[in-house]
Amino acid sequence: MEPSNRPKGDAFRQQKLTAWQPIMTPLKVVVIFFAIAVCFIPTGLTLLSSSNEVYEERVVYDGSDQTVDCSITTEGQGKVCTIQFTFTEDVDGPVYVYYEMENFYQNHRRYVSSRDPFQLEGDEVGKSDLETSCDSFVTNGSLIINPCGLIANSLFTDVFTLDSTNSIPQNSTLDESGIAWASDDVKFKQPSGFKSKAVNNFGTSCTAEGLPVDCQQYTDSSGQKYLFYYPDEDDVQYLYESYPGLISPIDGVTDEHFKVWMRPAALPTFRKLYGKVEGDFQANDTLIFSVTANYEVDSFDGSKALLLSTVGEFGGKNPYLGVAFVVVGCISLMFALLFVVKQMVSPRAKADASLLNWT
Amino acid sequence: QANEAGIKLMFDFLNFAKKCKAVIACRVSPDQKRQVVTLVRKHTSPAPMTMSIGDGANDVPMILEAHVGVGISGNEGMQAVRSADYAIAQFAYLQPLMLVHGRDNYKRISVVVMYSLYKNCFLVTSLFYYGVYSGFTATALYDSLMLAGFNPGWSFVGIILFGIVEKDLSRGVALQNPELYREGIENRDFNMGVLARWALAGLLSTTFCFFIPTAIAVGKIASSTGQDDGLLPFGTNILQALVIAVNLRLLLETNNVTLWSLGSYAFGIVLFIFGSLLHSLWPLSSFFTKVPFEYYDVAMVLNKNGISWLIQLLVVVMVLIPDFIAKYVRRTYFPKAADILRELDNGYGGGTEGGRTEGKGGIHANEDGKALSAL
Repeated sequence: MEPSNRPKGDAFRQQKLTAWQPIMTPLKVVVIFFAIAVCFIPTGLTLLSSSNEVYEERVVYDGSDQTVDCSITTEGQGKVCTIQFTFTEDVDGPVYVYYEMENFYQNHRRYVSSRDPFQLEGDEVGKSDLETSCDSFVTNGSLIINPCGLIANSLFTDVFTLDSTNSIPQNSTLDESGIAWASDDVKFKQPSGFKSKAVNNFGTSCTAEGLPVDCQQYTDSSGQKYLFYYPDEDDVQYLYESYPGLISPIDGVTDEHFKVWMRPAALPTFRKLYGKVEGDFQANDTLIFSVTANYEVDSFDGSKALLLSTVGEFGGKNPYLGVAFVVVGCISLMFALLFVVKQMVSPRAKADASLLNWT
Repeated sequence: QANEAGIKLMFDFLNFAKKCKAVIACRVSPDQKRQVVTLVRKHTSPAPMTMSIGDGANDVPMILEAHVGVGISGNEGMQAVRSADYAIAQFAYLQPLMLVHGRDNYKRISVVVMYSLYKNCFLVTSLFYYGVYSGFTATALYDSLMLAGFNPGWSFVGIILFGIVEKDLSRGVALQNPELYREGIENRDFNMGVLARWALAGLLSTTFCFFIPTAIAVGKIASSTGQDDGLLPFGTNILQALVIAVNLRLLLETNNVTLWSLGSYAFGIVLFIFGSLLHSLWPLSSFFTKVPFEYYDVAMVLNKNGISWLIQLLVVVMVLIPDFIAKYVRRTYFPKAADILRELDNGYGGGTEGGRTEGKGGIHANEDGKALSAL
């Protein structure tokens, strides 16, 4: 039997697919634009009203437009000032606390890639690999910096504390947990070989608590005592040593403020979450923050601000989203009306063969 | 052998032939056939596109000389077919070859090239715009893998299928209206004007696609968890809107929407979302990235955030509206012959003798044969 050269006859190969030929009639187009307007304008108004309900207060404390003078000129200066927020209306909490920076390019190409994920994960990484991945801040003299890189070693060092006794409502606390992505737990781990143990007193010996013999002591701000041990202390400068007082040796790279900082912001004006204050607030309630300014921004015309904001279903205070929807909806509506008018005034008859021009 | 008198005769012949609608040359040798083609091809201005059709071995030089050679297989053997670009079985098939397939493929390839330019202009300009906000340090707005996957992945299948399946007029209409072939002869679908239009559309699209999410994000919290999500979710949000817009843009361009079309446009979008989710899983987040594990959990966080979906909806509509309006105005108030014929073909406008009356824009099969009298 001779093989046949006859091409296969299915619809795809023979270009006989069932098709719908959309013809843009004025009616269909007008309906589409009206539908867009009907969907977008109410959505925009809802977004706007949700944004208007968000309570936001921003105080610039270091920069050309500062309202509180907490500016510093040297890194680590440690200037302390007070920022008081007074609620102008009743606000349902929680109220989120942010620090906002301007003119700080966390999105610089070399900055963004200057980190070693394996080192941050707790693995031991050799110096030459660190030099490839981090490029800067790999060593400090003879010590290897762990974690290396520009991001880790430019950590925001200002400290904000909430004055519980003088704030109204009293005993409000600043909860600094849960500010980083939950999935960051996997990316940031203490170096392998790190050990720590909470103890009641420093009388016990390291070995008795299951730690190597040259363990160290640490007491945190709440008075809890710890014994801890890092491997290769003589050769490595760990994060708690790069930032004494800011990063506890027990947390190390798992410190939430560090994790938040390590996620580079997309734009040079950005906010980073510092913590939140639970509870509901009434008009004239005050939250008093004590700011210890260590992070110098004056040399690059940067600015720092402390911010309180509630968060609605659509994020913080952000009128642009709602406005954009309303604007697009209105533009649609305008075109719909324009086309209706044009069709009534001087329509073009559909499929008018006399309009065929063969030029 | 060419000599002075001979050359003068050649050009006299050419000038005379140009004044005729058709020239019949008989009792010519194969080489003379070839010379006729060369004469027309090389000495006519503007340079024409030449096509030769032949069925025998004596037509081979002529077929080879022309731009496009068509060979007829059959009685005189396969010589002509072997040297030709296209082979058909009967002389009569030349008509659909040119008027239906030739025309369709001209339209298809014009759009394939222009669209490929458009989508890349769209993508690359958004990267350039980000430079404004990254101090022009060339930080990539998008993750390397998601960016590299743009051309072979998220915006690939749609345009390829378009190039295979797109058909703006049914076979019958195309055959009945050979004047439509002029569109190709005069390069109406593939010239500097068309290029400029697509390039500008790309620039406009990218201006919306980049600056709207940026305006919404500058110094603000655009996340319902209260966190500033950083560069990768921001970039992925823009890229997702871009991919959706670029695929739906093709839907706007399609004149015959088949299930294959809808499927392939949707495929690009679904592939992107699925790909970004896969890339966000721990083991795959080190794949093809500059900084391993940076993309971990990014797509999950992004897609859980209702605001990102709203931004994408806004951007896609804004990108498509100008093109939609331009197409509508052009087709309704400045219609070309093909536009009017398409309306007639779909049953709009009554009073056509022997015309099709089925389906006012409803689903129908493109059949060959049915003649449509349009004039």
